[in-house]
Amino acid sequence: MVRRIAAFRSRLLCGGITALLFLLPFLTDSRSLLILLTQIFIFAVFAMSYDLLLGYTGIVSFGHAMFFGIGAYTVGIWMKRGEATTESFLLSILVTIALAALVSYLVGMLSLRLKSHYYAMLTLAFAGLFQVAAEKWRGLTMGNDGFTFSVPDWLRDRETVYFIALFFMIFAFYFLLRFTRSPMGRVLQAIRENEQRTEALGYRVLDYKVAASVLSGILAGLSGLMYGLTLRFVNTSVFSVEITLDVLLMTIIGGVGTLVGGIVGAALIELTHDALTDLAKVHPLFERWIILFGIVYILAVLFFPKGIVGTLQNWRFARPVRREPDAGFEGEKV
Amino acid sequence: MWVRMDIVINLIINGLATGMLLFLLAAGLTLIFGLMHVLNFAHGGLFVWGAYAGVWLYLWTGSFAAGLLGACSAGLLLGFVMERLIIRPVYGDPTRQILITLGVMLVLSELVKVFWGPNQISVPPLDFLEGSWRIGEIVLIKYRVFVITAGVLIFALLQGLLKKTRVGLIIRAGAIHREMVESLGINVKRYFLLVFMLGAALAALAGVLFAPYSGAIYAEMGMEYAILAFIVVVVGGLGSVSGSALAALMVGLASAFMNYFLPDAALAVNMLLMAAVLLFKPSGLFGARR
Amino acid sequence: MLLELRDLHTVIGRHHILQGVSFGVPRGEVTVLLGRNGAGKSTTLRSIMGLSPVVRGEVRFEGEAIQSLPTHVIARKGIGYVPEDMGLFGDLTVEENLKLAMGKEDPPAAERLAWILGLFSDLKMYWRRKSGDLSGGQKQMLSIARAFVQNRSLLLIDEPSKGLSPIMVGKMVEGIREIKERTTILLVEQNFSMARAVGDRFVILDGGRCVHSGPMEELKRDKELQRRFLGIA
Repeated sequence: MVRRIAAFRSRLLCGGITALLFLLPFLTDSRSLLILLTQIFIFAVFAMSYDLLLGYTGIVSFGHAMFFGIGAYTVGIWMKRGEATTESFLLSILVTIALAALVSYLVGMLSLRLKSHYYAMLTLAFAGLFQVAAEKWRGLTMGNDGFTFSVPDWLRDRETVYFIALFFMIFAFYFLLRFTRSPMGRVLQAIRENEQRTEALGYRVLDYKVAASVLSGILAGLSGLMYGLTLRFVNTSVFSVEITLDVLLMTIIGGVGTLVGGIVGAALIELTHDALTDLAKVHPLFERWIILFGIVYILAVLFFPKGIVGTLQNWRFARPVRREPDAGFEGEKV
Repeated sequence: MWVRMDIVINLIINGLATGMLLFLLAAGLTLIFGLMHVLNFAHGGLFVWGAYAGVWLYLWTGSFAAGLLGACSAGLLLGFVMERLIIRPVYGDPTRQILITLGVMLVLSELVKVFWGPNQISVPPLDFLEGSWRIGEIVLIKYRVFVITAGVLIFALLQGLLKKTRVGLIIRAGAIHREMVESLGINVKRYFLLVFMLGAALAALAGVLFAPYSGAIYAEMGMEYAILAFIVVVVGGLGSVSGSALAALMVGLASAFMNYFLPDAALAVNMLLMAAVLLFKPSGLFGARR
Repeated sequence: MLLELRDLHTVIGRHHILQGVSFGVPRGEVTVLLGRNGAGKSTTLRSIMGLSPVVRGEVRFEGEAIQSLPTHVIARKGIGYVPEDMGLFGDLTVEENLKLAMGKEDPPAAERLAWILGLFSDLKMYWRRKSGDLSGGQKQMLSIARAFVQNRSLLLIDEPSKGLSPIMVGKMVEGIREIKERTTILLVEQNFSMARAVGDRFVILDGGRCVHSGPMEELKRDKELQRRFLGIA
């Protein structure tokens, strides 16, 4: 009963916030606020895609920036090469999906059957490789300097982009929500809990993991594409470790295994980014705000592994801790 | 013919020297993983701190020996603090281990910038190891030969530690079957700290030796070389010191040759090597067995 | 009673494997733990050793409660463990495996080593070979020797006859008969003929509980008991 009331309350809250977000461009003139929120929406999808891997399937990837960068560069290159038309834009979306799927599939098949450490190492190395490739392949990417590009007219308007990003986030959220509650989503969670047992139950774990990795990669790629779209500029920083660390922070601080956590985390990190960058103009100490984040991150992993949303959920629905195993156990013996 | 020959020899020396540095970095990583099942993503941070601490002391005192000592001490100290505060609480939880060590890597890299600024620091060559020897047409850069010698020496010392001492025996056995070592009455956790500090010191040493070799140190070198170290450790086999040695030399030589002939593809070649190993023999060249 | 288990409950993950195991192991005898696959025999040994999580109940060794102590402390109190997979360090030589176990190489340890090598002479021949290269029976001998060399008052041995040829099983039986003169043994065995050859007492586990125990003679005579709990027609 308590659960139902609480669920109703949170639905109300979500509905209220969503309505507010929709009305916001009409309520305010602040361009920077719109831009900031757009960024938050985009990174929220990025974080949720990461949560799918880490929170739901239990896979640690250090190369998520790869997909982000693929999306950003794809839209950039397509717009620049193919003239800023809507057809090019739609094509770039398709290419992003294809590329992200391909890369995540290959990397996944190569190393997901091994221990988690290998996947983490490999993705770190691959992300590094992509960054180096982006730097060297100047013909395509203009190297470190990057390049600006234009987009179709209807996508120039800040408010249009804001709404697209908002829809993007809401769509991604609901899609992932349905997915994680589907039978397939449950298998992924079973894999996170106990991989060997899931394998023993007859599921081909590798296939599921690769599938999760591909889905996650595609969403991350699309968020990168959106990022490029809003900035109309891309350089090698989209492949950097900082991006991967950002998404790690967002997911962990927001709450692993709770999609909402990604949104909360993204909002928090982006807001703090913004605030600290302003403060940096006041005092140089704040230029090294990354350290602050790093320390908060370490503390989070140590003491609040469930993140903000996770901890809140625990408080709300905490049951008295039982000391003795009750009769409800399956009774399977070894 | 002769011109090509001396270039080749130069490249080989280069490759071996780089290989030795990679070995120092990888040896610690592989030992820590072998015994503790912790993949220390912060290893690159220890590398860069060793470099900065060592170079700072070297520039301040004028003595490279002081720099070496400083680097090792920094490594030991950081290793101690890390193992106690960060690694201990997350034993047995690979996900949190991986996540937290990456966080430490970030903090260490940024701290370097806090203390020494974001720009790179150039390192003057060492007085007594400056220059080179000539043998006919062949030029042997003194510092590189020094690094190779140091690497061989440390390899020999490590092997001696592992094969001839009781501590080494416990470490080797613990890497194979930790539970069984405990069942024999040995408190393996006590050795965790030892191995972690040793690994950290090796990484720091690699950092300070790297400095005069490359002429400049910068905060990003931690992550760059950490990636190479991971490649070495995967190719050599997680947990095997001799595997790391062989793999390090392979990767070092590959890098040296690629950097000369096709510099853009250097990292890619090494990654292909890692991918090949993962496909065909994931336990690496020298994977351990029970 | 050298060892006493009282209402031991062990839970691994979501499996409630031991559901109140209680029995005693008298000093100087060989107690055999019997039961069908999945009854919880190996888990019992592991729980005693602190390798599997005990959630309720007690394990008393020499009168002292040891169920919450770390494994290496339990070992030092005088319990040796020979696991089902033998737990050998494959890359290490026979010599290294034994040296690791011995710790201080004082005269009593040396004497025990000499004695057990006398019993399992094959090990002397393969002294410097990697233990991973040994045959199944030799590995089993090494595993037992390693536990014995440590001066433990209780040895927990898990299925020593598993996968061995009948000749090797015979050697194993002889070996255990000799060893039991010097130390107490708690043996897990599927092989009933081996169990009756070396055992003085029996304990039957079923469904995570101890369902019957007594002197081995009783079990040898009671065919009904054998059929019901051991599946021996």
